[in-house]
Amino acid sequence: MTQFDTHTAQDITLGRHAHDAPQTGARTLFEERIRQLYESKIALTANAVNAAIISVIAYGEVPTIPLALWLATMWIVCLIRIGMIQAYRASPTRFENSRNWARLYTLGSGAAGLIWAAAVPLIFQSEAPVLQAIVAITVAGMTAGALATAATHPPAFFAFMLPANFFLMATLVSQLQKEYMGLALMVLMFAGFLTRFARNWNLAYIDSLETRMNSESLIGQLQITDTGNRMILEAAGEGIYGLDTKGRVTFVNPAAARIVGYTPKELIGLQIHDLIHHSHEDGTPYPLSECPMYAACTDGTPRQTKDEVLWRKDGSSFPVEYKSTPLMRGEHLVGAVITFSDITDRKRAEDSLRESEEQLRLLTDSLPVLIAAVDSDTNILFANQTCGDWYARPSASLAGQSVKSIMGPALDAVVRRAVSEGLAGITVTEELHIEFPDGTGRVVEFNFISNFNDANVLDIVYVLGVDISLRQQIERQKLRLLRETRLRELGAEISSAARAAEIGQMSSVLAHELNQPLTAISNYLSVCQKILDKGAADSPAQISNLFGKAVTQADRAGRIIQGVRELVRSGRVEFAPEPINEVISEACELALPSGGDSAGQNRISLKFDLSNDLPLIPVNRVQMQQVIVNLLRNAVSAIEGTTNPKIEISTNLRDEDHVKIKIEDNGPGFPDDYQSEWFSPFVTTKDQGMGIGLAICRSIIEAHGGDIDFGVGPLGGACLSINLPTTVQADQRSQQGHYSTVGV
Amino acid sequence: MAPNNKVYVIDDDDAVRESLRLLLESADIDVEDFPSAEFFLAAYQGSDVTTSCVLADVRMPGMTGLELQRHLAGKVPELPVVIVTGHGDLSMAVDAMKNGAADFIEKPYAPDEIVRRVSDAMSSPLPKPTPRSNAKRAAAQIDLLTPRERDVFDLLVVGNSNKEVARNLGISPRTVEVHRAHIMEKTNTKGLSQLVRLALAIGTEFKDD
Repeated sequence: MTQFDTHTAQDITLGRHAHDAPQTGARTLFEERIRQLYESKIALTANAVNAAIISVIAYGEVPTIPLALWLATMWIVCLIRIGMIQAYRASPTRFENSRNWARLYTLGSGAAGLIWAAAVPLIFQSEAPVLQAIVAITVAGMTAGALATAATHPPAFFAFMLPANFFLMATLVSQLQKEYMGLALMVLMFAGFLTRFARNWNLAYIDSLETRMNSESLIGQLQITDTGNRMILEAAGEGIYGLDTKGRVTFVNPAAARIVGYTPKELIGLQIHDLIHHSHEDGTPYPLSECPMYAACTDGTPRQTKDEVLWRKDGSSFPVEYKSTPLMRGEHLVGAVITFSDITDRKRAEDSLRESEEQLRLLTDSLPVLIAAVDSDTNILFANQTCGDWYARPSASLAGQSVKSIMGPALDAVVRRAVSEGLAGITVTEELHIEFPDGTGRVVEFNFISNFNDANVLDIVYVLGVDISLRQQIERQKLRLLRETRLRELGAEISSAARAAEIGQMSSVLAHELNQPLTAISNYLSVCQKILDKGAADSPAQISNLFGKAVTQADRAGRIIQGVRELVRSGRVEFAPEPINEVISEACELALPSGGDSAGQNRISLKFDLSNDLPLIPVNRVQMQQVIVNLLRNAVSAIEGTTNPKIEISTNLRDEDHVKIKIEDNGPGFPDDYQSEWFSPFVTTKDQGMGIGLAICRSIIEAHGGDIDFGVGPLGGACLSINLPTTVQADQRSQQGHYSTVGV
Repeated sequence: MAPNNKVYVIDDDDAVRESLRLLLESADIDVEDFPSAEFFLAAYQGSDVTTSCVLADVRMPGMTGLELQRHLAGKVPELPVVIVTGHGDLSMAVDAMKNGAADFIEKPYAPDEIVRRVSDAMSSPLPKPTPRSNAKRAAAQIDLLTPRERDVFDLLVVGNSNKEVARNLGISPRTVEVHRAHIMEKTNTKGLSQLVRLALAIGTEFKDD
């Protein structure tokens, strides 16, 4: 469909609006016609010369005085008219005063006509037919001459022709002879022909004058007056050509010709519509009367068209965008300048842009994220499918609505804040709880991205909303799990640490308490020994007394131990099915913080070989961890000073009723002389160890219905293996509360 | 009570005190025992300080063995005081040595050992202001130690246990034990108390913690 763009008048430099033209439109042409009228003095010279010839021939045949007066009058009029021509040429305002000059010329022409008319009766006073014929022929010839000189301005012609020929015919008719009557008739016919010619010549002249002026105007404006313009025209990539008011090409730049496949010469002067604009894209004819380019030449309204095609010389067509600008000379419409360009590439780019736009749209619609573009007044410019889904509206209907009406005042306030903060260069993120029309509430994280236009003014805010309800739920769950695990670990740590502290304190008290009776026993017995050694056993009663004292002290030691047992007995121990691997892992965390990294100056290589298909084992988690921690700490101190210290922990199902836990190290292993009493209380290789660690471990394991053993492992160091039953043992319950005291 | 060769045993534990008295008496040592430092001070009339000795337990209700030693050091500096320590009281014993205690002995002790130590304390007078030659000899013995052994020595004589020395130096307690044995061998000393005395002889700076 053709579109006329009439809003670009301000862009047009060559043209003016056509409605200015009618009042004064003819003047420019008129001026030119009058200028042509004053172009030549030949007619006046002919008048003067012919008048002189007539006078010479008639001299003696007609009265001399009137003849002389007539000739003088003619010459004076001719001189005056020559003066008029000089004055016209010299006048700076000759164009503005063209109408007066035209009247003046018509007056002069009429005067000449009257003088010639006067010549006829004057000459006819002579009876000589030759003279009479000469004057008739001269008048007729002068009339033809007037036609030639005054064709641009018919009134001037008629001013001459009418009086001269009227008097000639009247004089001829008044002779009342058939020869004269015939001549009069011929003159009449001649005058009639000349009149007819005058009209045609005038029209043809005006037409050609118009055409010439159009091209002069175009050339004057576009080419000749400014070489810069001309060069621009030549160099322009756009096609540019000029049309006259008839739609004919007045000029064409090389680009224009090249684009349509012609040479400039082939186009100049031709009706270009028929060559390159003859059909629509679909091949249907495109009449000149509908052509916007041509319309600009005729109604003076500029037009712009984007969706038409032009046809090349080879018959192919291409999409074109053109602008048709009326061309004015002065205020007279003289044609139009057409600028056009081949927009094949642009169309293709537009097509692919549209395609990618569609893809983008598809993408934004398929994302589970609310995407909307909002202007600075919080009106929605664009909203994706998700946005529509959330607010139960077709997404296409959201554009143009306000954020407030669709998404509610809360979000509107946030968007407004995003706008104001976006202006300050801050990206806004906001978490909102949104109630949706379908009754569900979601927690949505909104991000606002500000877009600034070329003028650095915020024009669009992109709103991205992600439903984080689920994510939050998961995070909360994770957090809860983490907290629970941490609490449990902390609990284990605390009870383990508390227990260790308890044991440490108890050991210290116990050591002091036991030291006293043991020292006494040792002393008493030593005294006995000395008495017996000296052979001074004269007093068995004395020895007996000392033994008695030693026994008393031994009893005292026993009572101390009994007291400790009572103390410890109060704790009840619960068993619960636990994943043993997890128990071990946690114990490792406690015993070897940061994976054993800081456990010694050498990095300990800690290797786990934990079986995945172990059943849950009924254990007391804290006590079991205490055992593992104890064994691991033993291992760590054993491998101190060993190159490439290694600890390996493994679990596996020994048989269907027992799980085996093994802890090995590559330390020096157990000293031979310790082996028989390794698990006995107070046996230690450590300087300040109490030697109760392994004893307690054994107690705990036995209370679990399991057993613990040691040996030399494949790593060359100590290897402790624990067997635990997978089901609760009958004696396990009955032993509750007793086992923990066994080794202390 | 005429001044005599005597061991004043001061211990709050009746059994220990009695058995100790019997033990020392069986070694023909004259013993007088008191259940507390206060009783001793009240009863003490003075004695032949050069052949007597006080054997006091470090932990006692009321005045401790350490306080008693300090008190006596001010009043009767010539009277040797031997301190008996329990588990974990090593640094207190070293303090006592620093303050002029004749010796210390750790519980549990072998009966013969305590008899010997007490006899030593009674027979040899307290080292008076250390003779120069003594200090020189001590310094010569210390010079025999390797730098590492010297480190271990320095830590031991201020009351650190083997374990604490090990942690301090970043080595294993077993290594400390080995070092300790070498130090004893080179300096010809037996027991920690002699090491402390050696350190005192060369004027080792004791830490006051």
